[in-house]
Amino acid sequence: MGNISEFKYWRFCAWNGPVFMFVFIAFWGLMGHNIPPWNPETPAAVVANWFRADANLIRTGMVMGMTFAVCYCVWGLAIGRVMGKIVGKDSLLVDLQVWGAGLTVVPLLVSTSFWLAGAYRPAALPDEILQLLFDWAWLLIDLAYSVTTVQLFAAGVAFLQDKRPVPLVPKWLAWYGIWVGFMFIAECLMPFFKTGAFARDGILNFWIEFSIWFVWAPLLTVYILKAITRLEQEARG
Amino acid sequence: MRLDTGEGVLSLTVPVHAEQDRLPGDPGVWLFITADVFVFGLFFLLFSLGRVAHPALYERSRLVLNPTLGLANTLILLTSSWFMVRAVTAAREGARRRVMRNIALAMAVGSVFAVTKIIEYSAKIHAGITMLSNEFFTYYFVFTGIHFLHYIIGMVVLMICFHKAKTQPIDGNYVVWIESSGCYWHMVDLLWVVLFPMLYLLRAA
Amino acid sequence: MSALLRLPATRVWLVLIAAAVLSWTLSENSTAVKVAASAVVLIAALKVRLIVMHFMELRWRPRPWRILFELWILGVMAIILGGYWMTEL
Repeated sequence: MGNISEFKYWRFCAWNGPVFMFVFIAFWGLMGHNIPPWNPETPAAVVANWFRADANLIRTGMVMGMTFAVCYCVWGLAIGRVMGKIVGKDSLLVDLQVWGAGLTVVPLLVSTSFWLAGAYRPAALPDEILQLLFDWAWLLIDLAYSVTTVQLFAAGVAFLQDKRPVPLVPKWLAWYGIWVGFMFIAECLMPFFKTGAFARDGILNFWIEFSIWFVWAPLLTVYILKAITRLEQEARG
Repeated sequence: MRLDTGEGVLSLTVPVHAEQDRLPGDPGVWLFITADVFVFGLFFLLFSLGRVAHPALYERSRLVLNPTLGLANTLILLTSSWFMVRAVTAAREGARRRVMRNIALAMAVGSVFAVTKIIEYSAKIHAGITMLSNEFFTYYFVFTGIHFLHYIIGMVVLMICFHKAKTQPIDGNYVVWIESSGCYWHMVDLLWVVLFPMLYLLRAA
Repeated sequence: MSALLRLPATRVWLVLIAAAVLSWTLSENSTAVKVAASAVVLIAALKVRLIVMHFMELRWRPRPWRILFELWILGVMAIILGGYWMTEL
């Protein structure tokens, strides 16, 4: 890469990470009744009435969520650039991470569209249909985990290969990301349980799984931004 | 690549059991191990809380389990771990053939775990017991199942260790690798050492 | 063979095997069930400690990690025994 001003784009893209997280917690999470989601045993009527009563709040939350879902991919591209400086920009690992980040946008976009659909014309829909939309959105978000696992594994493997005396991204964070990628596999249990630790609102499949991911992302962003600064200084020579 | 068939002496000057300021193997693996061990700690908590809430159900269900198979699993993993300890010692001495032999033995013994596990699971499933049967069996299948996944990953890691011993020099880098793998395998072992009594042996008074 | 027995790892393994078999026996035959079951859990904790300290070699390693794992063993034991004794009341 020849142009030193490219680094400001890298930095902008890296900041998309925190933007994504803020939007998702505030708009999808809080406005969308997703922290935690409705317990699966909640009667359809309750979920339906929530769609009807809070329709505009839900619409707002989902509109913001859908608009900013792409930020996750943009963030991943910045990570990919830093990875390229470690394993070479032609490394397959870079592609895997970028694709993983990009594909993660799919379940985010599609599932938020289901909530949005439910909030668009809720009075005309039967309770069970509204319940289905909420259920479907969660099944998609949780079971699409492996696209994010690919991102986590690829990033982890690449960062572990950093031979710098002070690595751009610390090895423990690389290992942590790999661990998170493995942990996501527990989401496979989610469709089988309507209550308890493994349900979509359960201690494992909601609280732990989402927390460990929402710890990884900001930590990685901090190191990516620092790395970009270091790389920029190296380039200036 | 020429294979080194001799048993060289490694020039590590640090005595093995002196107090050291580093962890065995790669420190990053220890983050993995620690995180896993704490997640299982949460599993143990969930189980204990469930048992407090439904003691009769848990006892009834516990009696369906086969503690002899559980014991067999414990003995298998402990023995496999022991072979890994010997493999690591051999690696520190640069003794390639001994490393390979001990890893092979660790894998051979360890593979029996898969057999007993499959026997155990099939017996349950044939009897109509699945992870959806009741809360005890949810925890039984999920916790031993997740443990089994860890075991499979461990076996793959051991295979990689074996392959590396065969094709690469038994140098400092290899020692870090095999120490890390050994620690992961010991974790698989120790998690089962807790799971076994917790699931199979806690008899209600 | 005797060289094998003198190795710490071998002795540790023997203790572990013996402890595992003992636990199993205790659970099947003992009449003092509560005490026996608690002994089973304590034995498990000791086994875990042996694995961590000797097989994983934490005994000779940095103190913070040793303490962390000792605390984990204590915590797990407290959780399992605590739950067990609470149920019997």
